[in-house]
Amino acid sequence: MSWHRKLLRVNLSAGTCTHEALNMEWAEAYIGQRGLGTKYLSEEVDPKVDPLSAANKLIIATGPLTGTAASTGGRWSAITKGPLTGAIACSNSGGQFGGELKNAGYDMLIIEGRAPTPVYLHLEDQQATLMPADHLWGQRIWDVEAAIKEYHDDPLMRIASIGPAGEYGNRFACIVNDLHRAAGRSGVGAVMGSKNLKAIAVRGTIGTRVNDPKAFMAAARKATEALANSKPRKGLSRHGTISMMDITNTFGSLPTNNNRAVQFAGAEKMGAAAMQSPNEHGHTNLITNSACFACTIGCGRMSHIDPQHFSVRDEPRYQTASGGLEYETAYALGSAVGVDDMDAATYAGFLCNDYGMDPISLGGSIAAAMELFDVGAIDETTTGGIKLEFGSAEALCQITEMIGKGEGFGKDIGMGSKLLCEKYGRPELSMSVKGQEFAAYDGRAMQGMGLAYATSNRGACHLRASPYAHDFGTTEPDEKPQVVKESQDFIAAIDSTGLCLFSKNVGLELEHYTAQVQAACGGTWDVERFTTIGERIWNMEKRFNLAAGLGHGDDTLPRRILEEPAPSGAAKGLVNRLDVMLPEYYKLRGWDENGVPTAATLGRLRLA
Amino acid sequence: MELSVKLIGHLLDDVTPADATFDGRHFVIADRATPRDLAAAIGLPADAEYFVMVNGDHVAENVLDTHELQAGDEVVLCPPLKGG
Repeated sequence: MSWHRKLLRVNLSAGTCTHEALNMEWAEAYIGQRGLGTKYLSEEVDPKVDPLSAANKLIIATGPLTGTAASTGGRWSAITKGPLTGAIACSNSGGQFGGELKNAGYDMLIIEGRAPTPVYLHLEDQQATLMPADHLWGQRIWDVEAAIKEYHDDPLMRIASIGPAGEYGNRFACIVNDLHRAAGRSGVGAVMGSKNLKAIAVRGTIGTRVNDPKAFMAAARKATEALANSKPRKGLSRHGTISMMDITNTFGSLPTNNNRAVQFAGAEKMGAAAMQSPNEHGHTNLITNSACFACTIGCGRMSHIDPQHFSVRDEPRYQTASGGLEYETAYALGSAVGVDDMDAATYAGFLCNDYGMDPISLGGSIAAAMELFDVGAIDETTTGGIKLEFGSAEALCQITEMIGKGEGFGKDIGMGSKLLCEKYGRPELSMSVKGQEFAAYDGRAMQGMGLAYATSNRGACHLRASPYAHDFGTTEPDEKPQVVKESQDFIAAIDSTGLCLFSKNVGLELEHYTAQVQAACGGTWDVERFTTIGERIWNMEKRFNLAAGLGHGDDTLPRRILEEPAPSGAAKGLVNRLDVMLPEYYKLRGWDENGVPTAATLGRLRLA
Repeated sequence: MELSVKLIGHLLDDVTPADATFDGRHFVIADRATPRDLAAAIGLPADAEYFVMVNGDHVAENVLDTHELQAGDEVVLCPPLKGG
C-alpha cells in the first residue's frame, strides 16, 4: 500500500524496459525516495565507478507519500554517483513530475548502461518505450518539453529533461522538470547526458492507494491545518525563500564576493521587498507565487524580467514568465558574484532552467572565476575578452550563457570551482566541500552550518542539516554537533517519504510525518523508528563514500572559512571552529576518530 | 531613551503596538531596557521567535533578557527562518 511495489529497470545499452518487484524488506528499512534509492545504488554500483561511465546508474525514486493527498506529497529524487564530487549524489525536486510518475504506477526507475544514440523514455502508465531523440539532442529544455508534448499530443504530460549542459558533461548540470523545477545538485544531469538519455516523459492515471484511507485523510488533514495556521508558512507563501536575504545579511552570514565578505551592500535590491516593488520603469519582477504537486505552502515564485532590461531587450524568448529567484539563486547570482541587479540574476536563473544547470554551483564557480580574475590568475585572454569582475551584471549574463553552451572559458567554469581553481593554480579559492559549492550561508557566523557543510555526504549543502535556529541564537560551537547530527537523521527520513522538507521548516513535527506514513503504508511507525531509519540512511551514504575513496580529509572547509576571520556581523573576528566540533560530531555518530562508522554502530543500525 | 528599531520579515506583520508609539523606526523605552523588554513593549507576541543585532553586533539568545540597551542603539529584530 502506498508503495506500488514496482520499479522499472531501463537498460539503455540493450534498449529494454523491464518491470520488477520492489524489494519490500528494503522498503520497510529505508522507506523510499532518498533512502531506498540509495540502498539500490549501493547494492548495484561499485563506489569506485567513473560517474560518467556506462557502469554508473541513475535512479529516479519517489516516496510512499508521493502522489497522495498529503500536503507537499510531490517530491522525487535523482540518485547516482555524482561527477562534481565523486560521492553519493541525491538530488531532490518538486514540481508535478514526481506525482505523475508515482501515479503511473512506479516507485522507482533504475536507468543503466548507455544508449548507442540519444533517446527519451516515454511512460504512459505501465507502458514504457524508448523513443529516438536525435532531433532533440542539442536543444534547450523549454524546446524539448514543447516538442515532446506536441509529438504525443498531450499538454499535461510531465517531463524531466537535460539541456546542452548535461549533454557536454558540465559537472553541475541538473535535471529540470516542469520547465523551472530541478534535481539540482552534484551533476546528476551530466550522468543522464552520459547515458544519451535526453528526457523522461510520463503520463500517469493509475493513482496511488493508501492502506487506511480514513486514518490517512485524518492525518493529512491535521498536517495541512498545522501548515495553514503557521506564521512562518504564511511568510514563505507571501514572500518566498528570498525573504532569507534580509536575515542573513543582517546577521552577517550572507556569502559575498566568493565569501570574501559576509554582508552585501546590494542586499536590499535582491530581497523580497525589491521583488514585489515596481522599478524605475514601473515594472515589478514578481507576478505571483506557485506550488508543487499537492503543496499547500506555495513558496515558488513566478517572475518576468523588465523588457527594457539589457539581458532580454533582444531576447524575446526570455521576456516570458517563468520560475523566479529563490534565496539560493538570489545569493548565487547576486551577492556571491557581487551583483545587485535582480533582473540580471533572474535572467541567469532562466538560463539555468533552459540549459540545465544548478544555479548554486554555477554562481559559486563564477564567483571563484571572478576572484581568479581579480588576483590576476586569469585575464581577458583567458576569458575571451570578458571582464569577469565582481559586480558586473553584464559579465554574469554573458558568461552564464557560455557555460550553458560549453563555449570557450565557459567550458572551464563548467568543470566546477574546485577543478577550475586547481587548473589556474589557486585551489584555495574554491568555496566548496568535496567539490560541491557552498550554499547561501557563511560558516563563520553560522557555525553549525559550517559543520553541516563539512560533514554532508553529498558535499556542501544547506538541506542536509537544520542548524538555522541554533546558529541564529549563538555563535558558540558547543551544542552544534548534537543539533547537526539529529537534524541530519530526521531530514534523511523526511527526504525518503515523498514530502517536502520545507513542511518541517515551517512547523510540522515528526509525529505529523509518522502518522501519515503509518496510515499510508501500514505497520507501526513512531518517531524512534523514523529517526533510526534516517540514521541508517546517513551511515549507508557514508559507507558508500568511504568505499569511493573519500575520507576524514574530505570532512573539512576551505582555508578562508577556517583561517580568515569574518570581517563584520555576528562573526566579526571569528573563524569556523571545525577543530572543536568535528571530533565531537564523530563521537556522537558512533564513528572513530577518522570518521569511520564502528562495527558496533553498523550492527546497531543493521548495516553490518 | 530613544532607540532606532528595525523589524525584519514577518515580525513587522506581528506587531500590534498597544499605544501606537512605534512608528516603524523609532521607539522610546525606559532606560536599561533589554531586548526582551523592547519586543514586549512594541507589541510582539510572547511566543515570537527572533534574534537581535545591536549596532551590528549579535546579542546571544541566552542574554536577551539581561543585555541592557543604550540610548541611540540601532536594534534589529529578525525571525530565525529555516532555509532552502
